[in-house]
Amino acid sequence: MIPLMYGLIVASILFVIGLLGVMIRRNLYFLLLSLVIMNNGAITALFVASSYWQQSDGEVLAILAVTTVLAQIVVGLTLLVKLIYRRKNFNIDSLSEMKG
Amino acid sequence: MIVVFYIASIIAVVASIIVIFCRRVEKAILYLAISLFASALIFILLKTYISAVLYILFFICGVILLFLAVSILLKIHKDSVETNKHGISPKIWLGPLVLAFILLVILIYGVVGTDYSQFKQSHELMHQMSIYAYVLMIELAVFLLLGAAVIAYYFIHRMFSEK
Repeated sequence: MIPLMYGLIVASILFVIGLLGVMIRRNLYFLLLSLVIMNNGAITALFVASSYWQQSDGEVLAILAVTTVLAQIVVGLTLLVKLIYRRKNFNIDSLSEMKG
Repeated sequence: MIVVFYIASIIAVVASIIVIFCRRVEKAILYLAISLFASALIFILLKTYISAVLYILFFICGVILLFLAVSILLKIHKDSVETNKHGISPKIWLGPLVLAFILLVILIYGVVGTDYSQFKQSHELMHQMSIYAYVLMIELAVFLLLGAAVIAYYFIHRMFSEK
């Protein structure tokens, strides 16, 4: 039996790594990859808590979170395609410049 | 068993660090797959088998397929934003690293300092209530995916009809 504390520490580390990636990358593609890592940390926390209490509520929430992450990736990649066709680059900072 | 958990978590953390610092797209996707599979191994060790299988099928396959399809479709091979030869310059990552480290210390302090024995009671009622809400939650999740697909189609369709 894996202790709850170790699992939550791993989930925190994964979440913070993803947050660091979101803060330092300017490429929208890698920003979406970092968001996946961040959500993976949250899903890990849900699984660990569900296993600790021996109930399936946490697993259902985790699968719901998986669906949410997939929807988020679909919309994010669509925005990436649109950014490339409009601005011809991947830099998310280029969206802060106003144009016309 | 705890040794396998340690190895899997170390692999997940190291692969995640490589993902956020590397500049080639294929390498990043491969390391992301390794990180997610290590997480799936942790879930299998926690004896949540069916959810782990659903995680592998939906999450890993979906994420890898979507990212790979977009990178092939748009011919993305390298990160062209970071032009520095030796990766991202320390001027960019030093401040966020300090902030993220402080957040990590606070999170681990909160996890370690919690008394888990007092969480053991009074969850029966919530379980009884929530078991009827699962059908509604599954429908909501399906509608969310459908909405995402409709938004993606609408964006791409409008973008091509403008040209």
